Amino acid sequence: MSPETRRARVILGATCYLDAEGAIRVAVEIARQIGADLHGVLVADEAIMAAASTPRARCIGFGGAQVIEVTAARMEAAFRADARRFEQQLQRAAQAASLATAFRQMQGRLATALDQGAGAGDVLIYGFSRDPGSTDCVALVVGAAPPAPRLAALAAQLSQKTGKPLLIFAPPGIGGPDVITCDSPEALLARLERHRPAAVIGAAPRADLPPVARLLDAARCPLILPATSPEGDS
Amino acid sequence: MNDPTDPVHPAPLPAAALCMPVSAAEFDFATTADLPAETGWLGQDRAVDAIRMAASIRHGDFNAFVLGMPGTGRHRIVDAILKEAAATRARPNDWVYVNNFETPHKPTAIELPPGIGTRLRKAMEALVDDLANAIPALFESEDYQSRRNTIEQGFAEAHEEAMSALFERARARNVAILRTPMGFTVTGLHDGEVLTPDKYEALSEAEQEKVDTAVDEIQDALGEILKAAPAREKDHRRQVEELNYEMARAGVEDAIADVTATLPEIDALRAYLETVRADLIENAQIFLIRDDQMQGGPFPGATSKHYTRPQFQRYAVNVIVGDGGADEGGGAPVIRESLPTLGNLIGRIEYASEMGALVTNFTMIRPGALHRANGGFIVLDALHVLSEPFAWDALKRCLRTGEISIYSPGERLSLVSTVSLDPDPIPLRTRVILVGERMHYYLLSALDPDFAHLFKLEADLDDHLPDDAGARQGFARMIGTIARRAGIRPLDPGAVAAILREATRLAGDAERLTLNTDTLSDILREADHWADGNGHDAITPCDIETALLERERRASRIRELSHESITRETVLIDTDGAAIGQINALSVLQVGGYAFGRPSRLTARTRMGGGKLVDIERETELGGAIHSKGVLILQGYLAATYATDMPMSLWASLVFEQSYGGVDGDSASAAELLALVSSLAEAPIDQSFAITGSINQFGAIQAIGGVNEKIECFFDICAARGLTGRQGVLIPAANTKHLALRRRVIEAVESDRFRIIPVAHVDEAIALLMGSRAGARDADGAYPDGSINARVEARLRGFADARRAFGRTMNEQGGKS
Repeated sequence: MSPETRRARVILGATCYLDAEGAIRVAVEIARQIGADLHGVLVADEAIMAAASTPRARCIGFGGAQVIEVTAARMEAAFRADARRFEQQLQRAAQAASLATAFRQMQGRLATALDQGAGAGDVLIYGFSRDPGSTDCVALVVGAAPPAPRLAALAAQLSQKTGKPLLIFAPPGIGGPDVITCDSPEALLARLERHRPAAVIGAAPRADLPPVARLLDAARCPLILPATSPEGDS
Repeated sequence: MNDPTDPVHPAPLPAAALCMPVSAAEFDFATTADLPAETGWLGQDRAVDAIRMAASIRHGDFNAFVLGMPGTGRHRIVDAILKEAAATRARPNDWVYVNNFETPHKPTAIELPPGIGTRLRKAMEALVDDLANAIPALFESEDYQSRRNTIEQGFAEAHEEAMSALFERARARNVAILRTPMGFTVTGLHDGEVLTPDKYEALSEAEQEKVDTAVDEIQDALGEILKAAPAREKDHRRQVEELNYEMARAGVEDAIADVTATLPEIDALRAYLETVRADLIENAQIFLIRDDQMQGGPFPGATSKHYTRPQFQRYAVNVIVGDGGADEGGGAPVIRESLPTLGNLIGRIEYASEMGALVTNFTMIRPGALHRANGGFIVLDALHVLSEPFAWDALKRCLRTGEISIYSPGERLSLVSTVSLDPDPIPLRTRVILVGERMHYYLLSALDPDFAHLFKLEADLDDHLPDDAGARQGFARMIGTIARRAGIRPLDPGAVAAILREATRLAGDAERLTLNTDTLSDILREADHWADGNGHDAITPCDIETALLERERRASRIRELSHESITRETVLIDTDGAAIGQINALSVLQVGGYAFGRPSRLTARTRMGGGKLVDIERETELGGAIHSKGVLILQGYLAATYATDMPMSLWASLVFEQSYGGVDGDSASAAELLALVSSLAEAPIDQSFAITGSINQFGAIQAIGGVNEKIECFFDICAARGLTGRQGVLIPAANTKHLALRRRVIEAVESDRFRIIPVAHVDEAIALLMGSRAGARDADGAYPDGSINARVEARLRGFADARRAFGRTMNEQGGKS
């Protein structure tokens, strides 16, 4: 199958089921909008496995309770369990939206895992669980060049669906009523942290963006990026 | 045979004495239409005064029992008096049941001024409708949204700021916070990468300690932030609730103030509205529930009857008493409950079926007749109340406690133990009037110890009116009023006289006028029918006579069969000639509402014996107790009158020939005695006569009942065979005043073809029937020779002598053998 005839994919990746669940609705919406298949990837992040392998490895439950015994084996088992739940939920959501779906579990780094096997036209979503009530906007990060129409449209759709205003984070020189100027990657991260987005759509060239992990840390919301393609996005 | 000059023989009654002497000439009106309407109730002063007292006395336990013969106007009199009394009373207060928000199964009763119950109900419905529009608008308002967003923002910011600060701190300390399937993992970084075990081991001890300290610090801080989330969430919810409460209160208080302004200042009402206010504020969210059906209907949501929706039923007002609006006429209620079942009397709690279960609430309490009559009067038929299960018990309970409590038969019998409603009882302020027959009153008085305490007033209607001065004129006015009320022709004076005579017949007394106005009305209406056919403008005596004849004809099939059995000589009754020990007795039968007489042949046989008088009726259990008493009394007379110095050596038997249906009463005891005397004296009795009368131990003939029917039945038999001029009926002298004979008998007496002879003592009857004087003892104690009594005594002495001789002979024969 040539890249031109292959259906586009929305690839949702996460390091835990909670983050995957937090972004499934966005992923389904985007897949429906662009007529893509819905794929899911649970990444058994190397960093997490390494952390779990340390002698004093500990976890704090998402509710605040301390998990005493953390080992690599237990973490692997937890990854497998989350993978099953992720896959089930993905299939349910895809069936409800009449979307084709696929799922895989892999090891590696979340930041780079989704790019592996992704092609032109694909949309990558890095999952993150966040209470929608604690968000203020949908963020579109653009570069010096105008953003791809598809991505701009996507951002507008998400803004409408969530009921949150669309804010454009742009480098200096780009003006507008909803434009927030960020003159450096650090400034962008700081502003993203302050504005509490419900989702971040990265329409700028990947090289102009901070690393995925940093973006996730700062925005603490699902991150939507086009797959890297030598031809660029259309 | 009879000596009319003998002073012992009483004279026959003249025709004038055979019915009430009244004529049309006594009345000076053309028709009863000229008479003023009767405004009171003739002859019922005693009962009317008692009912008026019940209607006016203020003490609660002076309820009344109106007793009397059906047809005397009990219900009509009660209705008229109560209606008059009720009109002078103020309209009673309204009673409503409202929700008890704290204990919903104990609905609250509130007493309100007249008309306010309905006003409250409508005000609450309007309140709900207003709030159904106002509260959603409040929560959609810019003000609410803005303040709500502020709270949401504050909540979100607090958490996010803490997390942001933590992540910043972690970065500064070279610590990574990773999101894993097991939760957050905090780990050290080295050159921007997560420390692997190998790299960790490669660090110096000091560096390891630094990493460990940083990890612990960040981990603890993360734990603190996450643990604080529930408390923060709780505070967030509290702030939202307070905002909601404040918004709801503003809307509710305005609406409640509008309701309060339209209603009077009553403590119970104010207290209820306060609970409504609190409940509305607390449950404002029920006004945010959208009903899509209402929105999609032909009318916009704003004009829909929101108060009918189930979630708002808690604010409904159930008007138990007074739901007639303020425009209703004043006065107290007069309620007549024709079907006094338990539920109809004290009310009921209804249930609805929901998903297989029975549910109820305060809106399903239904009032009973006692509720509707509260503050006024209730009229109940005694027999109906006593016939309905638990109704009498419930009525007494309400009167005793002074409250109306609602319960079902199941609860009364403790068969139902599931939780149902226990509404506040409503105070009972009602006068109860029971209407019934005398038997009901006397049975209740004798058998129910509560009755006398709860029904202190008896309104005893008279059955008849004495024919004293002014009574006839008053009666004529009453007749005229009955005719007017029935919408029929007036009566001419002759018809009034005819009705008066019939009134005495119905009373069974020529000196008494019946007060059975229902029967009089029936006769008048029937006479009107005949007057219509005869083309009369007013009812005439002829119309009255026709009505009476037709009434009798309709009812007399059995009488005619009885009469026919005699005229066809199936049943043997002689109306001429003479016979020893045989006499014509008279009895009266009642079939349905019609009474008629029937003659019977009574015979006596006598011989020597041991003093036994065989009453064949009693021996065969066809004789009732009173009949047996009469026979025993005449035995006493015999024993004390004849041969008192020797044992009674008589054997006698008495029987009603060809009678198989049983006899009771002692009105034939005189006939029985005369038959015995005839048999003992062997003196034939003139069969041209019949006799009726009861006898005492001294031979006096006492009054009996049904004297008119008895005379007429014997007359009809004689008339059917052809009156001889000799025939007649002997009646007790005490019954002379009860005579109200039919025209046919009176005409026969007027033309000397029939006789009615009053007798006061058996000796007078002996002389008339046996043609010889009875005889009185002289100074020596002997009866005159040839007198009936002498012959009886001689016969009895003969029996005694024969018995003594027989006894001696038996003894002698026994000694010899």
